[in-house]
Amino acid sequence: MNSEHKKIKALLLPYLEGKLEEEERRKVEEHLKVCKECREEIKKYENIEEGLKMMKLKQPSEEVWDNYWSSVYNRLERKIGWIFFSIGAIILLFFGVYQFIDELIKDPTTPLVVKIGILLLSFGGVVLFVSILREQLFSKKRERYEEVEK
Amino acid sequence: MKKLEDENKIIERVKRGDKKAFEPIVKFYMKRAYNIALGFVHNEQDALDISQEAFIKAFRGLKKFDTKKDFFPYFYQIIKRLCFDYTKKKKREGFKTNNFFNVVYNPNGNNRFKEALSEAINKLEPEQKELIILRYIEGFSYEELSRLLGKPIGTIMSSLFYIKKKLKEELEGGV
Repeated sequence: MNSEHKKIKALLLPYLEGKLEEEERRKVEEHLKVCKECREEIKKYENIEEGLKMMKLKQPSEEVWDNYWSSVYNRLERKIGWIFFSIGAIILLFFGVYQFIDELIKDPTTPLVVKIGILLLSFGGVVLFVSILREQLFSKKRERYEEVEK
Repeated sequence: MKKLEDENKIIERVKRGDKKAFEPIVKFYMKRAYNIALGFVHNEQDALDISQEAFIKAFRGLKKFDTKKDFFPYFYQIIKRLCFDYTKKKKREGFKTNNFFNVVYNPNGNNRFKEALSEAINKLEPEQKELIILRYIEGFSYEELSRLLGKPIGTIMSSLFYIKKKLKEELEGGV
């Protein structure tokens, strides 16, 4: 009886889900008639199943759903906008710096040591910029979301 | 798995650069995306943000998307990773994630069993909670879960079986 009870207890969930073969189902039903513990056990599973089926998650207001798409669209556009803005800003910055350095270098009153300093500073700046750009592009290529199967 | 009508044709248009063509896809999957994210992160505003971010990432990746495949399994991988990144970040920053109980809608407010069940769900592993959300909130069948998660149906069934057993033990210990 004890080993039979253990065996039947393990079959209670599949029984509730209707996954048992006819003979096993019959055995469980016979056992349930005489075993109070298993009847209580099955009641607990039924309550859990019912509780899970009835469960609902909190939802935002209808207004949020109405504006959902426009929010996604704006974020999409904003990201593209930022890319153009950044490229434009970089071009202007480089042009401004180039003009400034050009004037200083060509100025005969600028001391030689300042000219050397400016050249080294510019060279270092370019190396740093290229390095950061390369790092950004490399990490973009390896972005985890890009690895998702398409 | 419910799928948007003409989804593949719409994706073809999006791939050709038509951003507005993405609208029906977003509108069709937005609630599902929010529920999935909420199931992982337990915060309504963050779930909303993550779901929107997932659509943006999905949009960007659509250029290489194989239109013979369904959109949702692809989108699901993205949103799931975003949610895991979010929880990892929260953990790293020392913030505690909200309790699952906070995001369960409880109109009666005094149902002790429902409260206890939400508390028990909160203690499940993320992958177990994921199954609960997909099966009971989104109504996925075993076959659909098997396809979505890339696991055999038998594994899905035994996982759900184990989860319910765990919930029962938790409820017996806690109520």
